Amino acid sequence: MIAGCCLRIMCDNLKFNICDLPRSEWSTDRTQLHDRIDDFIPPHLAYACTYWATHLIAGLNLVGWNNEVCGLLERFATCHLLNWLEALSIIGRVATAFTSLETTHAAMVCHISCLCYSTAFIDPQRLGCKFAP
Amino acid sequence: MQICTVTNTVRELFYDGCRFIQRNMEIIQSWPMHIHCSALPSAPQNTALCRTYGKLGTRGMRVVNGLEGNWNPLIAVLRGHCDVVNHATFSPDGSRVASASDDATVRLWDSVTGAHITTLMGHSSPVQSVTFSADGSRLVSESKDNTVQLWDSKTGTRIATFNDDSNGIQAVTFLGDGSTLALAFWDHTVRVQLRDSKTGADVTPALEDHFDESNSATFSIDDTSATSASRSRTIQLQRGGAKARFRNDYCERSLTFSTNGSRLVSTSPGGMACLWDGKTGARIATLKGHFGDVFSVTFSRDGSKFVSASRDQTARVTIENIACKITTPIHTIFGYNFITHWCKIAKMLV
Repeated sequence: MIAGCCLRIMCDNLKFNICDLPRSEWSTDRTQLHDRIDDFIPPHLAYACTYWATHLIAGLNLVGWNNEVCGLLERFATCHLLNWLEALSIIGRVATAFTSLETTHAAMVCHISCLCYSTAFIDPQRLGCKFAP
Repeated sequence: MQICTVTNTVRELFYDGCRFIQRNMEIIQSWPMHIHCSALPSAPQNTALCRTYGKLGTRGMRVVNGLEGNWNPLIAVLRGHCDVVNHATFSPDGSRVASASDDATVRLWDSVTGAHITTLMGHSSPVQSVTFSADGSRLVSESKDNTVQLWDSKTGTRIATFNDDSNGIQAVTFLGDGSTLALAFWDHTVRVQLRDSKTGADVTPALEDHFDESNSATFSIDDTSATSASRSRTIQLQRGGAKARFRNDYCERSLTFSTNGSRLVSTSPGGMACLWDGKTGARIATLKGHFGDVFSVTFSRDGSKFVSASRDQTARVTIENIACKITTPIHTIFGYNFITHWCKIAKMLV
C-alpha cells in the first residue's frame, strides 16, 4: 500500500523544528525559509506529507483496513500531527491539510461503526438476546 | 476476517486536528514554528490533542488561566482586513465567504478552513456590500467611490466597472442566472437600471423613477418590475404601473424583503416589527416579542421563515402561517455570545 509507505516516511523523517532553526528565528515568516526547504524536506517527504490521505482513501477502497495501517496512523496521530503541519506550512501546502484529516476521520468513523455492527453480529450472547423467541 | 481497531484517542486526534487547523489557519500558513509555541498552548485543554501534545507546551507560551475546556461552536475567525468589515456573505454552495471592508477591498475565504483565498483590489473607497451570483461564479461589489465592480470569483480578476458620478449607487443585485445586474441609484429620485453583467451595456430601458423620499431604500427586483421601500415613515411600493402606498406608524430601522419579494419586514425602535405583503402593501401582522431594538432581519430562502436579531441579546425565528396570517415565535435564544448563535441560526435557515 502506497499509503503505508507515505506514513512510514513521515513517521521516520518528521521531527520538531525540521529546519533546525535557532530559537531566535522561530518567529520568521515561512517565506524567508525558502533556501533551506530542499535541504531539510526532501521531495519524497514533501510528497508523502501532501498526498498520504489520497493514497490512504484509495487503498482503503481497494483492500480495506489492516493492522499495519492502523498502527502507522496511530503513530502519526500521537507523535507527528503538529510536525506534519509544520512541514506542510514550510512547503506551502497547508491547503491540503484539512481535507487530509477530514477524509481520514470520516473513514475511521465509518470503519468503527461497521466494526461495532459486525462484533454485535458475531457475539452469540447478543445474537441470542436479539433473536431468541 | 481481520479485525483491526483504531482507538478512540486516534479518532479524536484526527477530529481535533481538523478543528485546530480551522482555528489557527493564519498561524499555520505563515509561521511554522508558532504551531508548537503559540497555537498548541491555546488549544482547549480537555481535547485529545491537548492531552497528547500538551506536555510539549513548554516550548513556547503557557496559558495560565482562561483556557477553554472543549472546542466551542466558533469555527474560524477570518483575519486580514485592516479596517471595519461592512458586510459578509456565503457563496450559494456555502464553500466560500466574501467580506467587504472599509479598507477598500473584498476578501474571499474558504468557509471550511477559514483560509484566505484572495483579495479583490480595485475600489478606492470603503466597500459597502458584496453579492454572489446564483451560480457562484461572479461577485459584484458596491462601494462609496460610486462604482460597482464585477469580479470573477474563481480567479479574482475584475471583469467590469460600472460607475455613475452624478447619482450615488444605492443597491446592486444579480438577477436570475446572473447574466443581468440590477443597479439602483438615488439622489432625489430612485431608478433601477438593468445591465448585462458581461458587457455592462443597458439591457432594457431603466425601470421608471419612483420614490420621492430618499432616506434609504431597499429593493426587491424580479424580471419585470421593481419594488422598493424607504426607511422614512411612509413605505411606498410600486409594481408595474400600480402604486401601493402605505403608512407605518413607527419609524423603521431596517427593511428586508424575502427572496421572491412577496414579503417585507420592517423593524422599529422598541422591538416592534411589521410584516407586510410585498406586492400589495397590506399589513399582515405586527410582531411583538423583542424587548430591545431589532436591528436586522434575514429571511430563509423560501420566504416562509425569518430570523430577527435584537439588542435584547436574543434572536427569534418566526414562521409565517401563510393561510392564517399568524406568526408564531418558535425559538428564542439567550446568550452572551450572541453573534455566534445568530450565525448558526441564519445558516440553519438558509
